[in-house]
Amino acid sequence: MNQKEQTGFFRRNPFFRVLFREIDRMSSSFIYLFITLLGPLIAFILLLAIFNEGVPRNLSVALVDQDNSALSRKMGMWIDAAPEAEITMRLPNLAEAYQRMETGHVDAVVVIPEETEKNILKGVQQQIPVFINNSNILKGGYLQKGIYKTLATMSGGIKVQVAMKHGLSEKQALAKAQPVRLHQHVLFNPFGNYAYFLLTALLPLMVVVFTLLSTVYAVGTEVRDGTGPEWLEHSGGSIIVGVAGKLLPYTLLFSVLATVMNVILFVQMGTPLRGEFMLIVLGELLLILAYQFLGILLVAVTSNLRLSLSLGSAYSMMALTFSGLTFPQFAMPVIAKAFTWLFPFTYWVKLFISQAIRGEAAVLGVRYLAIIPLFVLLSVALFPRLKRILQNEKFWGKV
Amino acid sequence: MTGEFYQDEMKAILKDQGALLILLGAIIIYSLIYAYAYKMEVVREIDTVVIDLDRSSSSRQLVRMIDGTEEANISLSATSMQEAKELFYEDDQVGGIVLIPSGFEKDLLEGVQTDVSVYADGSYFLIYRQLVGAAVKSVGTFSAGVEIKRLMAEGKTYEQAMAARDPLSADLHFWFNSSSGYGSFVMPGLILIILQQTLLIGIGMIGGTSKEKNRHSFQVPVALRRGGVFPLLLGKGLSYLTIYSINCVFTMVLLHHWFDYPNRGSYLHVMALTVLFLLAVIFMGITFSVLFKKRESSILLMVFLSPIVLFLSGISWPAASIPPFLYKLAHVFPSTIMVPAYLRIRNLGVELSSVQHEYFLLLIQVGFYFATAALALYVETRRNRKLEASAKNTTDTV
Repeated sequence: MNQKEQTGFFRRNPFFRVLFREIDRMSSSFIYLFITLLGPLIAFILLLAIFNEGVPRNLSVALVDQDNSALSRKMGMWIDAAPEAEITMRLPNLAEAYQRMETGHVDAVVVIPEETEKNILKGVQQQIPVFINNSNILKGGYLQKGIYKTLATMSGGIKVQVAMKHGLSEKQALAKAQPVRLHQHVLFNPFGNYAYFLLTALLPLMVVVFTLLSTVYAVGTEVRDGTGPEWLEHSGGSIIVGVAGKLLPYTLLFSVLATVMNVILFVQMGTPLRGEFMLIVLGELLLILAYQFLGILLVAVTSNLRLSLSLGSAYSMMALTFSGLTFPQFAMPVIAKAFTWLFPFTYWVKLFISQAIRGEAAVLGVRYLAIIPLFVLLSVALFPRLKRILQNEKFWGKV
Repeated sequence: MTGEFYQDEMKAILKDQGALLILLGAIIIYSLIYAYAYKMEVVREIDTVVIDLDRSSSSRQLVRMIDGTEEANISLSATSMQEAKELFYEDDQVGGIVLIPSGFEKDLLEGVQTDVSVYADGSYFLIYRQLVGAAVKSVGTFSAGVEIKRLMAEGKTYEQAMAARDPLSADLHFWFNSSSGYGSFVMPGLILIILQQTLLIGIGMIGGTSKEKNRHSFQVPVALRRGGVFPLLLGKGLSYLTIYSINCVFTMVLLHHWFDYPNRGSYLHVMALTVLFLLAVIFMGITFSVLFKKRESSILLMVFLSPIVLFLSGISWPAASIPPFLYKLAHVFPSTIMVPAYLRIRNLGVELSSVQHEYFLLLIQVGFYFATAALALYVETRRNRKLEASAKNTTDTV
């Protein structure tokens, strides 16, 4: 070692020697810039842009109006006015409308049969056939809600009119029209919209993906390039100091990213924050650390950069499915259910729901928080193996 | 020549465990794991707390009706909202609360409108949807029953009572995936995204490796002859097409069969579309592969795009709700064109004529990426020749 370098605390302290070495490595190539800054920012911007509209609006509906009455025209107007639906075409028959569904131009068809108005005036019940393409259950659900509500409102209006004609007061008529009313309350649903709901999971998922990949890359390249001994030499032979100095710049960068995410989630999107914000911040820090250490674990187990990257990307991506946010955990088959607990991300989602959205007691949030460090410990247990890999030439050069 | 390049590329892939894992292993493992997680398709029997403040025969009947739905399971009861909320927080599995007010039966008998409340957990979208659906259905049926009884007591016939109750009744028909199965909804499209992303990353990885090892040197003399780049491109392309044909049979035929995913279209139509899709992705992959200097670059630069490409394809989030500029930009990915057309063939069973718009777009895409891939390979082999020449010069001088 050069004598000149040994002057000054920062140049002598093993931790800082590793830290500065890592910063030099990071500034040496575009890849590092991409996986720590550019990539996550591009991902954030794209996701926010995709879901900018919040709720799907104006899904295409074809109207087959065979009645051509004042009532049927009114019905068409009302359906068009529903936020979920938009009448984009009027067609003479169902067959033609079906064709438009086959070519992907409409998602639903409403048929108003002949003599609808006449029947209503006569007091005969009139069915209004509605056909919804449910191969996309999200669109199907919104269309069902919009069209059903519109028709039910019209039907209720007709009933109240008839009842009032028979001399009932409006209140009596309403009670007659609908003896039991259902009040729907959403517990904790901050937005009532699917996009924001997804974003609260997709943004942290991106943090997790890039955290894991960048750690695997930073550690894995040392194995591939055989620079392990040099790294350990900087850390004074200690693998713990070595890892600490190496990971710190990434921990800081991803914490900044998590802060940006918090601003997007809580300030820009207005996600409620009903519990302890500090628990959420702590959870984010632990989540980042857990995935950093899991990255080390992957390299220690496989001693292979590319294999670790492949496994790492699969593992981090799958976290979304297994967090149970899109398809609930308890509805999964037993083995899949058990599998969900193998992802730190799952605990994070639960912590987030508990502390941000539900505002549960802090103790309930701590339950989830306490488990995340176990992933770190698991990785630390493999440090001796990592050290061996770094020092032993036979592990190097694998691409 | 094409044959030799085909063999050469195949060898490069088969010898490379890492690339094989992505090009062959990932698709099988991924699709099985996802399909297994979504195997149950729908969320059934969500645990629900009931607060029955009326404790009458009518309120008990309504509780039984809610309990009887497929979606809800009245598993707990509470005497106050406070208690119900505690139960809700304690048990992760509880999805909601139903509140029946006191005086429920009395109001019904007196013809006064009465309110039932459902509180559903909005932090999980599917749970919310299912539980509210169950409550709407049961309360609606219950309410209708009360009305019809009243109307018939007034001397109306059953038909008259029905008409008076609901003069205009929506007769809802769900076409395709009528049971709203989650796996059937998401898996067929997800498979296409996995095929595309693994193919792009895998090709990028092989390209990066070739560059690291400078494996191209022997291709130089052929590829730089007039039109010589085409056998090279076709040879490469066909080798990926071979491997992905196996992947497609596995995911589009076997997996669909095992997990009972929609399969209304003819395989001929599926194939006609899929071949174009694969070719477009392969040529796109080859085009971009020359940009990757190292074998791991393609993973690092492209993995994060997978969920983004998924949502851009309109599988779940409607394409019409994506900002138009972004949706147009998304057409650089074959999946954006392929997914909606493919889903119509598989889910609706349409003929090729109903997807001709997308078919032509894919054809254009294949042509475009074929040209860019040929250009990319040509530029790269020229660069390789220069590198080789300079390497020779240095060895000569040494």
